[in-house]
Amino acid sequence: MTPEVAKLYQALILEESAHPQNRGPLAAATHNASKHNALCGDQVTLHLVLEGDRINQATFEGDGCAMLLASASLLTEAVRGVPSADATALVDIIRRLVQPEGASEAERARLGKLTALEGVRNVPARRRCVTLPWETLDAALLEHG
Amino acid sequence: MSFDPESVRADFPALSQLINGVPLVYFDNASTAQKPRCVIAATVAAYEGNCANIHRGVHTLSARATETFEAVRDKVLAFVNARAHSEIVFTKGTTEAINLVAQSFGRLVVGAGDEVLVSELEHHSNLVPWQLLCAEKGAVLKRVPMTPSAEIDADAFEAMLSPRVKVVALTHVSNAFGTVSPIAEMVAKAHRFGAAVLVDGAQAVCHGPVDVQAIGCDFYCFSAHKLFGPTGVGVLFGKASRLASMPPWQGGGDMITSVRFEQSEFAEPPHRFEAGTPNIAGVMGMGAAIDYVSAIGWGPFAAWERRLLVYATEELKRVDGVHIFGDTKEKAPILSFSVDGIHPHDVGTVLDSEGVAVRTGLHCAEPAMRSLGLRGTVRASLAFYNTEREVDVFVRALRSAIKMFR
Ligand SMILES: Cc1ncc(COP(=O)(O)O)c(C=O)c1O
Repeated sequence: MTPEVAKLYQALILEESAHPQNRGPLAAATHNASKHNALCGDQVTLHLVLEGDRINQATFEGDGCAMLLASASLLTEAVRGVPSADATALVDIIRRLVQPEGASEAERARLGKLTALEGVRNVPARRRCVTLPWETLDAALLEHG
Repeated sequence: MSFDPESVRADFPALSQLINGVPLVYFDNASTAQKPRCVIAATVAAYEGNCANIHRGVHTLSARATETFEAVRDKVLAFVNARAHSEIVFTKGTTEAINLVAQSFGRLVVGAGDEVLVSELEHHSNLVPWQLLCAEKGAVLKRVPMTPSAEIDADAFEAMLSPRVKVVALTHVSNAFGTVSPIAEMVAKAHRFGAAVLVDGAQAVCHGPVDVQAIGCDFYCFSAHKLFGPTGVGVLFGKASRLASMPPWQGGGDMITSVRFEQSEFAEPPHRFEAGTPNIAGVMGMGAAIDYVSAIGWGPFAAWERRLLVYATEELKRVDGVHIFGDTKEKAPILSFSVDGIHPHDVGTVLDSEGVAVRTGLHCAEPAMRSLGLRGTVRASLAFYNTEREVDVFVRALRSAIKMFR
């Protein structure tokens, strides 16, 4: 196996995808969005509870590859208790993180565990699997709850 | 063994490269096949020595290009055993051939309330053109179901036939599973009710001889690129009587005999359906591809593919958690499978890192996948230049993927 693929599937990703967090419906959700990857048919739905401007809770539904599940699982943890403007900023950082040039050191410092997603930097065919939940977050936040 | 794949591998420049530092194992032949040097040389020659437009000039170069181009029509005629020159229309591929039939023939014969039968197994390109036609005409698009073993349900098909059915569109070989349709029988049944039949041969022409007269179909479509030829070129075979009845599909140069400002007279088939400058170099390359496979001969070719399929199937079945779909007795060397607990994409990425190219996902056959309750599969599609050693590399890489995700 190439080092790129070993890095893609690092332990944290395998663990998150095998036991995703915050997976399931969310009855109290104020904001919801779904997105689908036409290439593979994978789909993710995001549910958020916003209180004022703050995301109090987030869950996801959907099935997909390990990268998508890990990304969605980490997302739901990362945005809990976060102002929506900060969550939107996070989406932008993730978009840069998965590009070949990657995110800046300062940005990476804000990401914590989420840096595990940067393995797709060198596996372009799988970039969308990681960004799909974040695109969905963007769409959910744009929705006027 | 009369055929040794090693004897042909050197003909395919792409096969000898390293991918991710290891030798490429190309098991994505159903997407597009690799090209032998003679095909590449023929397309280069079309630009180097014979570059001129066809059917237009009196000059020597144009005459030479026209002659070489039309000679390919004869090769295709022999290749599918058509009756006449006029039955072979060059298109840019299977997709365009099907759209041509749907838009020209379909519009002619399908009216409001009529039925078009399409199997659930089809590639999207043999479904969407019929959806468009039926929406335009107020006709009814009917789904011919498939069986759990990924074959067209021939009994259900027979029961659906009636005089309301005007067109039937069926795949010869499934791109998603490799299963083979009893196509000649189905054509005969449809004809009893007066329906015309289009056969999608995209995955059939590269695995064995095709005889359109024996099949009896009205239309047969394929792409050169799956037959070791260039991309952007393909063939529509149409029975002479059908093509003669059909109006043009696209207008332009080459498809007319005389043009007045108000209206034009259209050329006879096949030229009526070949508007504009065609993919001349592509057609030349397709001719070389037909020569190449004909020189090997279907006997040795098919026997080797058969042996490879049996070997790969046995090896794959020994891997824990693997389920093969469409594991029928007679099939093309395509293995479509799932692995318990691992998404096809993740399998594909790990295989790629070991140099093994497979396709993962829905394979442009979403209704077929849904019918089997699948969200996608891993598809290894083999060609005559693949080897048992490559199957071993593939199975070893698969085992390492499974180990990682368990
Ligand atoms: C069964 C089948 N039909 C149609 C097509 C479409 O062929 P093309 O994209 O060359 O037009 C393909 C190839 O993808 C196929 O496998």
